[in-house]
Amino acid sequence: MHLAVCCKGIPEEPRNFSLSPDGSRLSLETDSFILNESDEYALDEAIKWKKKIGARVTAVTLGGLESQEILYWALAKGVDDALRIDSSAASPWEVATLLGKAIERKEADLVLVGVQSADHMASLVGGLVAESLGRPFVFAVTSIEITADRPVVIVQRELGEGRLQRLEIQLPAVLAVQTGICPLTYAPPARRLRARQKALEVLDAEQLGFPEEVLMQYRRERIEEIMPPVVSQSAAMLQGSPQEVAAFIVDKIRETS
Amino acid sequence: MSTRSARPVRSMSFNVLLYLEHDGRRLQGEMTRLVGKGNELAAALGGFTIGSLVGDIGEELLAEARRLNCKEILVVNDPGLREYQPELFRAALESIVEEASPHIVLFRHSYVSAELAPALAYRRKAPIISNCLDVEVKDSRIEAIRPYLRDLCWGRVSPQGEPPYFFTLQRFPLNKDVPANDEPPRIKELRLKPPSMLRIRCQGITRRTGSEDISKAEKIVAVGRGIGAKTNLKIVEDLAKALGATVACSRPIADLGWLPVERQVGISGRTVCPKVYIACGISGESQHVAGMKDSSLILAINSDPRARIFRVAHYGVVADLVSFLPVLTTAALKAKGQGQHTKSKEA
Repeated sequence: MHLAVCCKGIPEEPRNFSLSPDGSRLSLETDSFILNESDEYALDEAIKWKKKIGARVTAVTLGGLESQEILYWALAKGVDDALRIDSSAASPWEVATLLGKAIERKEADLVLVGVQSADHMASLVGGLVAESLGRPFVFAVTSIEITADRPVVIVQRELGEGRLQRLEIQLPAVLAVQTGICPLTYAPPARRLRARQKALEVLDAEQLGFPEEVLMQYRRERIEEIMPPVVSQSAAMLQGSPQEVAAFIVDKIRETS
Repeated sequence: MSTRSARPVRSMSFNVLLYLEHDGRRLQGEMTRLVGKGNELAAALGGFTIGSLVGDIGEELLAEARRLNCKEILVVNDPGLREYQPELFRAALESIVEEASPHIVLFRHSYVSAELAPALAYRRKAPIISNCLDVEVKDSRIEAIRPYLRDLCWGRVSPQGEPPYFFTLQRFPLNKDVPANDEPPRIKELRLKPPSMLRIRCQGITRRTGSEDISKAEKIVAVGRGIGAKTNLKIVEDLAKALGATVACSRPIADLGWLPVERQVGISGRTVCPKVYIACGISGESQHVAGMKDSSLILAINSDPRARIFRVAHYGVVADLVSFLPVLTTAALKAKGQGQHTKSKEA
């Protein structure tokens, strides 16, 4: 059983946002990149199955050299292999095209992605990757059961409003993992140091068969403008001593209820 | 560098197709508003709206759909669609998109559309823009507004390439009034053409049930990651007790296992609409806000003055929870004591 986990590095404290001149991405400054939260749950879930049934786990990320930190983190947590796709692609269509191609090469039985990235907030890459590979896809998975010698997984997934659905899915498949699927693990500094000694595989878009001019044809959106959020309504901010504020709130609650 | 124009292409209609999401019995989400948004776009493009309904559709659900302000509704009604099955629903929608030949396809942003919309867009090699706050037609160009970086900024994004353009919307702001159609929508049934091989087998849908149903509570004190440590939950519980309120939480608290998932408010948890909602240390991500925004009185307490919860709250307090909540509890207990005192005097 081979599991591939898509791990996205996201800016920890982004600032000075602007738009790249070609409208393809946000430019920003950040001191560091961290692993996207729902991807971290996907990663820990995969490592859980490595421990349970001896599955092999490959972490895949896409980005520049700075995103390599994410792979060292994944290696410290216990993945077997790590692959970086060296690309500045940002749109879901382009990212999914490259990830799909790389995963196809890895021949993973099960691909795990997180439900949403904190920077692009699109929840599209998993679904697009699945289609590009012609595999079944299920979103918002809250539990996975894998049996070593069976070509199926049984999952529980959210449908919203507290409804849960149980599904049996034939492998190979792609699953978008919800946060909270398993407890997050911590990688101690010694393991993180050791992880940095390990070799990473790096492939660029051209090696995956998508030179820049070809990949651009997969860009199906253009960001025209970046703006501050428009706030339609905002709270009346209460000022005063804590006691005054508390008394005001208690009055308001009494008026309303 | 070539960027293809997003101007309408003549070969297709200017119609707007809407995916009418339901739970088998009733339409879900704000379908009336989704249709309103669709009508607004269709009017600007010179087309009309077409609803799409997929499932084992009973009379009641069909009647509900008929009341929507669509010109036409395409229905794939099949007993095999009783339970939501991603591959079958996608196949049904594929036939619908083929039949409708729309310029735009709108979904509400949901767990279901996160599966269906990218699959359909991929198969058509079509643009898809998700999690939109709005979609507009401006000078015959179609643009979406959507959030980036946990809502720190918004982007105006245009689809590039050939239609249909797929959008999933988390909100449906209605900017223009579009008159109701004179007649109820025409209903047209399409046959389900299932894929040759199904790789997903449904094993049933269950509902999360808890000992206490937070959706029935009149007052809710909800706690988020801002509470810091699990041991601090006690001060939230004390406040709830003093106010006669129920304790609820945002997703991270349930993920950490500090409170059971039955207490979680938001898209993935419960939708609540109490008279009073006190958000303590909740940042206000859209997935949480969608589950509580219609509460009558929303009070937010957060140490971060830029927290997005202050955009939906009626009153806001910038304060440290650990120091402020006990003050609020004391004030509530004092008021309660006075109230009882007054009552006993009246008696």
